[in-house]
Amino acid sequence: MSLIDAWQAALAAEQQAAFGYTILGAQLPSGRQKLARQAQSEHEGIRNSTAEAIAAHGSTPQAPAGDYPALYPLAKKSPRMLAAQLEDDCAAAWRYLFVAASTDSTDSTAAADKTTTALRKVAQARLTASALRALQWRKDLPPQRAFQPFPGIER
Amino acid sequence: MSEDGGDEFSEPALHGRPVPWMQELRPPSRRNFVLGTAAAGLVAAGAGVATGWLTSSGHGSPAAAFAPKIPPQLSAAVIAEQDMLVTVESALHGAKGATKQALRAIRDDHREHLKALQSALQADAFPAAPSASSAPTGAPSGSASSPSTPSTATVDEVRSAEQRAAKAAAARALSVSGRDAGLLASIAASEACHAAWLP
Repeated sequence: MSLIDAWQAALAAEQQAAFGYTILGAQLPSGRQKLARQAQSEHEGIRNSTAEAIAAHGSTPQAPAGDYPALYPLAKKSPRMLAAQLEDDCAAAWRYLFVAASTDSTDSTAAADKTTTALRKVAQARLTASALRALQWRKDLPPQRAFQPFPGIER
Repeated sequence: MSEDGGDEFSEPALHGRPVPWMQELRPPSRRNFVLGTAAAGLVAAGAGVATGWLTSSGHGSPAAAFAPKIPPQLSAAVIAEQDMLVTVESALHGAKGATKQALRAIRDDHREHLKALQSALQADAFPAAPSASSAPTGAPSGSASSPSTPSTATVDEVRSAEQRAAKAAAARALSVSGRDAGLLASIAASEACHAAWLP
């Protein structure tokens, strides 16, 4: 997978997360709705800035899917688990972009190096942010182990 | 990770659909870890034989010719994980209840990190990497006498150490590439979660 493919995949994960939180809200207990709204807002911001960055790089950001039917059953069954999965998916996509940016050799100029280093910093920050949000959702779920040893890798 | 020696990771999927970008970096299974250890041993043995031949026949610098290219960031990350294990273990001595549970879970994560890092070192054919038999991950010894490690750490000290470890792992991740970069990036995120999770 090329750097741009990995970048588009990160955008796709953010698009899905932003959508997913819209269907979660009504299913959550009132005490967790504020957290869901905050996460939704963060994902919408990341989605938009990621699309802008891809466009600035000279590529066309992929459009979001019209619907995400696979999300509905879990939203109904366990909205908190779905929220954690949305975050896991984002973490995986950002970690993959981090790796893709570290191995991209299509342009070895100093300017390109600076761009990929900046992109890796962004990807690392977003991987960590998603892992931290997943922690917030998973702490209420059995088996009471909210964190994972390898965010973005383990499923 | 599972303890049965099988594949610890289910097929990556985004709500039922296979997702290739989740597949390319996974910590090693126990089988791969053992294979990696064996491979590293073979590389070391081969290097030793070849070094002897070169020395006796007067060809060039054998050490330079066979020195494996190991990112120093990986070696530093192993030491950092050993340090974290010592710190968390020392905090566990005085902990109770939910704090003790949290610290145990964090310690387990650090053991997993250490295993994965050792395996990554071995994958890079580092002959001096601590093997599964010589340095059990549950009994870190490399930096146990570090003067910066308190004899009994408090939860605040563990939290601060996790925050520092997360920053250091993220910085190391930026200066390596490929699998090693992905592993260190993930470890950095994990350690940020530890810091946030502690009461």
